[in-house]
Amino acid sequence: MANLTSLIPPTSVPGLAPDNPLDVPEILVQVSTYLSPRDVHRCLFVNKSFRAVFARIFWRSVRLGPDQDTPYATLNAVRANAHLIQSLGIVWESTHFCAPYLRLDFPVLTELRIEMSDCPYPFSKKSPLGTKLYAFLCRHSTRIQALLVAHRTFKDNSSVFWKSIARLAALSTVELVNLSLVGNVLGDTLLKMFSTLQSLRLDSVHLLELWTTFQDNDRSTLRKIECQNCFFDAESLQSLCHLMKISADLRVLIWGDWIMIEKKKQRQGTTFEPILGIIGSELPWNNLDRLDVHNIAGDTMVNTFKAFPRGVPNVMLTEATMNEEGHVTLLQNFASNLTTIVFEFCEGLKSSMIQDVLCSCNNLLSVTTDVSLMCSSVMRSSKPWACSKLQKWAISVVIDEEGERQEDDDDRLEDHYRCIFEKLSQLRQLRVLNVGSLRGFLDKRVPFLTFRESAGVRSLSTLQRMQVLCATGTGQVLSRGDWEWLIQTFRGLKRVVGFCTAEDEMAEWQDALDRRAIIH
Amino acid sequence: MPVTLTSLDNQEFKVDKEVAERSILIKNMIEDVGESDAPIPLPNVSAAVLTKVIEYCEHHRNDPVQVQDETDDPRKRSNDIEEWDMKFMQVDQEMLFEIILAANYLDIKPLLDVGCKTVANIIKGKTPEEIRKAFNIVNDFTPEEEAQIKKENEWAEDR
Repeated sequence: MANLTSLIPPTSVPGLAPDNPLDVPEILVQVSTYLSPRDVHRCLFVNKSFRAVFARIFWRSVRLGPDQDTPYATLNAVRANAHLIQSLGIVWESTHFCAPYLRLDFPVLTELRIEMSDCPYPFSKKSPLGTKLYAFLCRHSTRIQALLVAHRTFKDNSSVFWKSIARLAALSTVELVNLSLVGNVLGDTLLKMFSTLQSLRLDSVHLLELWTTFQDNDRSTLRKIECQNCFFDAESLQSLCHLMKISADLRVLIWGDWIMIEKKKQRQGTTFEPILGIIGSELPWNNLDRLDVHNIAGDTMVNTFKAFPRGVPNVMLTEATMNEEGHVTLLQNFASNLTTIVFEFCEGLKSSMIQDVLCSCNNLLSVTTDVSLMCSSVMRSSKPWACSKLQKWAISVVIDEEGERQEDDDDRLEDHYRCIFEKLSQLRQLRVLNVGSLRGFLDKRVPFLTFRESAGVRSLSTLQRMQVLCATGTGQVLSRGDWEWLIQTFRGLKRVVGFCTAEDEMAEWQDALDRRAIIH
Repeated sequence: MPVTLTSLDNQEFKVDKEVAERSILIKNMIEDVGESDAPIPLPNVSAAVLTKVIEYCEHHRNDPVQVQDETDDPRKRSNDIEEWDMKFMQVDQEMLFEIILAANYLDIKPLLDVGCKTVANIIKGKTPEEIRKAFNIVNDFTPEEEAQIKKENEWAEDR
């Protein structure tokens, strides 16, 4: 007894505990996470203690820019609240607009996002904008941890800006969007930062003549590399791959479309092969827990999956060409780890492969794919799905048969539907369900099928956690009775998408769902 | 093995260990002390509130560990409240507040979440005056302070 009493936290002394949770800032902060910016704004005016908490939330992130659609904070308002601003976004239309803000000090600033439009040489030493930005970065060099630079028509090889970035001692996240970098400006910066940087994102960046070489005993601290829609020449790609090679702690790799520039010719890089070729067998990615690959061919996929020494729990493949061997390798290497799998626009992906995933991956929480579950025997297989914890099912359940149809086909199809819905009904944790399109019937039963009790949504009444229900493209008409059934059965239901209902009735039912979510 | 919890008003509650351990505070206390028959004193929680908290923990005893939503952005977190939880939270405001405080003290995150969502749902769509009225809050701003705040934040009224 004495031992337990001594473990009671000091705040639990009777009489000292608060009697109103709205007086506890931590609780009010948590409440704020469920409020829209408009509601947070209104809370500023309630009383002093609300203001003290909500001002910190409201002013945490500010975007400045002469944008007609989004109002921006005036200079006086920013000056008065500069001590609260942690994330500052500047849409840089003109020096005239931005300069006054750059003279201010932001004592808790950790994130800076600069979005440029049409300044041809914004970072040049001679440009008034460049010098102001340089001074701003120097003043905040020990605070800024995350930096995003985006430009619509940027072509600037001035090294002044990159030198100022290299001075940001606390920087851990860099995002570069729509930039053209020729020469070693970025390379030198990276070289100075690779022992502190944790995340690097390059999107639509031209990277040319980057010849930085890292030593084999160098160790980069990068945990996330995202590279999409970029143009490289051979040296630059090699430098980037070398950076990956020395990133032993890499956890997330996102590698998307890229273009290889060879002299004056451009060749589309549709495979992952060069990366593997450059890094070879020295893949350091033991810690990888997310792999997103966009635009990858079958053979390369086999090599890619074989290359990883152990499973990666989250895999996303887009515009990949699947083949049987790649699929088997995927399952062999990943089955026990996979929690999330996304297949999008994957050529060659078959319903049997999806069936394999559902039957093999027992830790799967989310599966998203656009594959059609073709009318084949796999869905009638008695093999149970291993993914009993599945929370999100976003998969097309399309049954389109080609060729001549036989009279008894409809009964057979209905039997397939019954198998699918029977298995779905066992996924008790399911919160998001896209049942896809139900097509392929000859007779008139289709419009009513999804609400049949034997093979349709009505057979899913055990799924009480359902929040989002979708049946895109089915042409299914929801009657008043169907809506009432939905609302009564799925008490947490928030959105219903893709069914046909008259427009005014749709608004009425959506209103009913929205009203239910708000407890007064 | 059952665990005995003692409320502020010295009432004893016998509950299964796995139910009690939905509270991280109690879980840590049990782990620190080891096997013991001694009752666990909870001097911040009245018997009426503890009854409700135990009811919640009993109902959610088998819940899996919550998975992270697709986005890490807390601003995009779901406001959904499950049907049972919604009914559970249909109590007067005094009890709602006491449940939130108890969940905070006992470190029962899912219960604290439901409580905060319920409070957020009350705030949603209301004007500052309506919020004051809903929670019986006194406006302690001077007219000058109110004008100043309005001036600083008027740009964001339609945000």
